[in-house]
Amino acid sequence: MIKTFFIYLVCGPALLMPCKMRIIYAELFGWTVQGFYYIYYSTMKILLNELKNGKK
Amino acid sequence: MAKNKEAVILYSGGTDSTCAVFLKAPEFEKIHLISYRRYGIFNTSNIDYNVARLQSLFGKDKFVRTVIDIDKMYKLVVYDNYFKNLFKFGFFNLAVCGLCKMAMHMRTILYCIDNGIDTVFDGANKDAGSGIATDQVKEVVSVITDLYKSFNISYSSPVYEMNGPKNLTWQAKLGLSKEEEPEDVKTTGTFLKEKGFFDSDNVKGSLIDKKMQARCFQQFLSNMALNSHFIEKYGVEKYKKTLHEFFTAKSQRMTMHIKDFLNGKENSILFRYKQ
Repeated sequence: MIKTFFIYLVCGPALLMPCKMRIIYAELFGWTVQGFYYIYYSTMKILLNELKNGKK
Repeated sequence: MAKNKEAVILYSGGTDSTCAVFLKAPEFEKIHLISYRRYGIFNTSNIDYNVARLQSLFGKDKFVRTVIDIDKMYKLVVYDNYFKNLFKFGFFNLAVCGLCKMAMHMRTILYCIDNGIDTVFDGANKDAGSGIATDQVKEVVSVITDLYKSFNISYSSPVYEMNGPKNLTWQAKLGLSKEEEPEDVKTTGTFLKEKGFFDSDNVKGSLIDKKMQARCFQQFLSNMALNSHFIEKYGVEKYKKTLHEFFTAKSQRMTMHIKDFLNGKENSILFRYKQ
């Protein structure tokens, strides 16, 4: 339910945007998603490395 | 066997379209490598990295290199008959990759007509985007093939049935588990590695991949609306069926616009949208 609401909240406005605005909006959203991905990925990697070093 | 004369390849600089060039270049005297740029696609000059390498392999005269702007064409494909499509297909109107690819194909048809070419290839692959990419699923590719057929142009992807590289799980990416590719799987990457064009059999997502392709992150909106929402709710079959209906509707309108343009109708919208 929350997920559906979030998807409508993010994607709904894009449907009503003119061409350039939609491109910028989608780009910004894309960068944000990539940002979260890299933060999550690098945090996990650092944590795993620390755990490995601790185990040694 | 006599060589065919000329063909167009829609070239993105990536593994799949490069593999298409390798497979088709020996069959034709001349290959037109066409790339497209529009607002929102960055670093299009990266594509030249592999073009130069291909030219050194096959000879400079083998290729005609063209880069065309499709800003207006893209706008036409996305917003043509918009409100009707909005009520009928909803979030499918955000299928950026499919719509952008349709604009590219539309422009390619005009290019072929201008240059008297009747054969077009690209690097579409059945496994792209985990097999649900809005521009490369079979249902959309068949619509594009029919669009070309309306203008007596043959379109196909020589790499369509090749396997895509295996998607690594989180555990494998973080080095927690090892996932090995089955040895006999033939991908476009393994093909290019065998030919000595790449050092690795899977460069997708790597730094070298970023260096040789343009960049665009706009697909995340449609990924969210269609992959995370529509497919979860209605399933893949319904997703593919709706994609087919959506792109068929688009294709019919685009065929009409191109025919109006070719017949020289004064009010043809393409007089304003062709760049």
